[in-house]
Amino acid sequence: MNQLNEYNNFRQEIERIADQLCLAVKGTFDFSVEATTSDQIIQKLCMLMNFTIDAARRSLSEMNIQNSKLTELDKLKSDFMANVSHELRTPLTLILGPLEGLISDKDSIPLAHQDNLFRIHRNAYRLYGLVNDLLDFAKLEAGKYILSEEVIDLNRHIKDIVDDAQGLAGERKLSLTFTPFPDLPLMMLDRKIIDKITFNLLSNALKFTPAGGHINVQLLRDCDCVDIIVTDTGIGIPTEQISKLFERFYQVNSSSTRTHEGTGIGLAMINQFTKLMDGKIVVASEEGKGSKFKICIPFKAVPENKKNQPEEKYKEKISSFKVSLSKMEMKSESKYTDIEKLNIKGDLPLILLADDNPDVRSYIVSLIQDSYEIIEVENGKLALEAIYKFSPQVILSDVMMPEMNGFELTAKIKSDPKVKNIPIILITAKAGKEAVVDSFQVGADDYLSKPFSAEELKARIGAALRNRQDYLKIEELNIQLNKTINELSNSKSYLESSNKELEEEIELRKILEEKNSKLNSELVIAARHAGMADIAASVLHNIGNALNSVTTSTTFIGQRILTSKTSNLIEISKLLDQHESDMAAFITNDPQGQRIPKYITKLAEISKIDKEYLTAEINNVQKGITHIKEIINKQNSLSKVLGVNNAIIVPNLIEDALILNKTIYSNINISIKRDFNPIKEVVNDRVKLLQILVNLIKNGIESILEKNPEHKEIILSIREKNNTHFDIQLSDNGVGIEKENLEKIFSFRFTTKKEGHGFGLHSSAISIQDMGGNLSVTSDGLGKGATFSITLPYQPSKKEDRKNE
Amino acid sequence: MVGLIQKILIDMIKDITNEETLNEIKKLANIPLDRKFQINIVYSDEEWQKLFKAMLSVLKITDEQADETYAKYFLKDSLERFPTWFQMSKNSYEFLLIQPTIHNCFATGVADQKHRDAINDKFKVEQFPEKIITHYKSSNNHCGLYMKLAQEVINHYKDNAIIEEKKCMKSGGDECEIHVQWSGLAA
Repeated sequence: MNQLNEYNNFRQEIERIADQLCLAVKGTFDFSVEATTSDQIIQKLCMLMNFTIDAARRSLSEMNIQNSKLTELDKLKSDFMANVSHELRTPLTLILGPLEGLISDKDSIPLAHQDNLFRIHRNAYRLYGLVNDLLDFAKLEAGKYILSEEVIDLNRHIKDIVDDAQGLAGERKLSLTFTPFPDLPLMMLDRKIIDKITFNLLSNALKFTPAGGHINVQLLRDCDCVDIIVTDTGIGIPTEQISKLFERFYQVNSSSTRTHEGTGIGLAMINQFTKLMDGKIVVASEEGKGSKFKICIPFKAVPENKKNQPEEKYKEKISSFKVSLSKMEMKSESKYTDIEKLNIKGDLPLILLADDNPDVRSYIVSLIQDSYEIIEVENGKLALEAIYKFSPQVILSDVMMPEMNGFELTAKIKSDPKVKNIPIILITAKAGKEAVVDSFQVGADDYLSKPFSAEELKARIGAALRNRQDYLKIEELNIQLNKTINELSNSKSYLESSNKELEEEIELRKILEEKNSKLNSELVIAARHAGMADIAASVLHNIGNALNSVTTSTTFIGQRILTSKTSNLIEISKLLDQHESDMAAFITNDPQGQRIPKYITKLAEISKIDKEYLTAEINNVQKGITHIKEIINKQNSLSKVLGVNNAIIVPNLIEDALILNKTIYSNINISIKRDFNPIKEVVNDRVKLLQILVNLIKNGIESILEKNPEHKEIILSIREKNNTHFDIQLSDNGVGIEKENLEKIFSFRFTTKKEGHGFGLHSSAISIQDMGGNLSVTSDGLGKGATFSITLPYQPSKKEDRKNE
Repeated sequence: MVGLIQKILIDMIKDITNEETLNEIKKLANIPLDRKFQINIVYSDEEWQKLFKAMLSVLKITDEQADETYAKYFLKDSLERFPTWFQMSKNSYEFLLIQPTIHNCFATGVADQKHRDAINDKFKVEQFPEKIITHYKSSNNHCGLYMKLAQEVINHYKDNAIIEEKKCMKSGGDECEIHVQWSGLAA
């Protein structure tokens, strides 16, 4: 039961809170939710609800304050606009009045001033129109515009406006038609409003319809309304922008590249005027196809008392329209420049002037035409075309232009190295820091704020021109400098090319040297092998000779032993054994026995001779074996130490070389003479030197054998050459060397021998070089012997030294 | 003073003493014994001051002791009652930044603009990187309590901060100015 009560209490409390929250619909949030329950959850809920309500209350309060401030500001702004417009009308009237007086008699105006005066008149009228629009707009905004209705024949009135615009439509190659509503009665309307609405719609149609298009103004009437319909075949309006068309200051294309000038209040004003007449506007448009504006105005019949009243202020209407039309007339003068047809005289510095306002262009031209040649274009796109074609010295450009604005033009120029150095001066309607920042940010070289004085314009163009000329001078110097640099560069290239060729040649030579070196190494190895072969040959030869001697001796010994009479001793011994018992009788009596003593005596003599012969032969065998042993010992000592530097006793080494060749010359009567002078200790590759000496001695012997002179002689000498080097010379009296062969004698594969391989002397020469020395030869010619000289250092060079490391 | 403050104080006294002591304190403060404080209602500051003073007197504790104990109870209660406010702040810096708004939330039950403003004006916070300066202006002179509460919040988030009172109304200042400087706040 208690739970049910609690639940009901809880529900009641919630309902009470909900009832309090109903106050929120007032939108003021000037309340708070109260809860007296002891339930803490409901207390918490109430507290947070109150917080939310309070937040909404505070936001609303702040918004109201802001709104109030904005409304006040808006009113101030409207008042300001109205005041300013009103104040501007007075001086403008005082400008236009006298001016019209002046230009009414065109002939009385000096020719030099005519253009300027008409320009002033045109622009003063334009300003007057703009001021009037602003004033009307301000009045509408402030709700102070009061309808001033009068009797109007709308068919005739609209027809007049359309007729006035025919000239402009013709210039623009547009067909403009008016379709009246037949029998439309006179009606009460504010003529000024009708003028402004019609003009604005018509001027928009003229602006936004391309050449060849059609504009129709039509009047229609249904029972309560009269419709003013303006239809065109123009560019149309994007669907998403139609709803914004009548917002103040809104323009379909609000960028600085918009094609047409305007304040953005025209359609907003039409909207407000229409509303003021209790009418409405209907817009239908399709992009690329055209637009249709329909203004529905309630039909107000003319009161009886005014039916006979003539139309008023017609004259004023016309002038008002003309004022408005003057905006467009200016545009009508704007015929796009054909860049291709432009010709440049080239007598004066060339200035490119880009501005879509022909009056501004003609004014600027009038100021500078004496000092400069000027190309005029209407937009940035044409300007860019002209810049590439004519390369002007200075560019003067407006910021707000159709097709391509001044900022885009500047950015394009400054991003192209070909033209980026042409100074560009932007003419901007902005003033102060904003103008400076905007202009310089896009890369302009200078800027001019409207309104500008003639002096300032001239001064800025002059400064820009000087900069340009300075740049051109520098550019010329740069070209010359670049030319010089190019020439130097070409020379450098040639040098580099030659250098490269040389480097390639050096590289090639290095490769060849490496190959050569490798080949040499291979040859050295081959030569060494050849040397070793020579040594081996000589060794084998010597051993062979010794063995031959031994063999001969042993053969002799064998034959001698075979033919020896000592075997007869066995027969005598057997015979004596048979006669052992009658030995005395046998020797004395038997005839056979009687010959035995004599035979034994003779046999003893023969045995003595055999002994002597065999002893001699055995000695020969012993000598041969000793010689073989000696050769083998020498050869063993050589094979163990090849390629290692060590101390050399040169005379001993020569003797070793002679021993290795002994068998060759021992059987030939060759005189070996030694002329060994004392020298310092020699350290070098002993084995290598021995090989060389063996080769040279062998060559000398062979050379002598080839000539076979009666007296055969080899002279070996050792002597000091200087403090660092010594000489070993080997002279023979052999066949000698032809003069022309002296230089070739150490060449690879060159030989004068029938069975020579051309390695021996070549490898000897290389080996001597390897040892840090030199091998040379002299000969007086064929048959006159030769002398081979080895020059060697006492100590090996560092290169040689490394062998020991 | 918003009712939540009184409610937590009453709960605390009841918790650390007994009903009898609580009634003694209420009597001393001239508060009806059957008074139930609602969290969504704003009560008079004068009544609160009496209650607080009576508590100090009966419990024989100092202001600082009272603040410290109360701060612990207050944080415990708030964490249970309004967990979202703690969850929506990722550290004590963020929480203390919204503390004046939370405080003002309690005052929104007061429909009267003047009284509401009086509550809203009690706390103003200046924000700096890793630092806040709290400007406290109240006849209750509870700057000490604010600092203890702030310390509890810092402890709750396990942050490191130094709390300093640079100006105090009790020392003749026009307001209390409490600086909280954090070090190594997590991003």
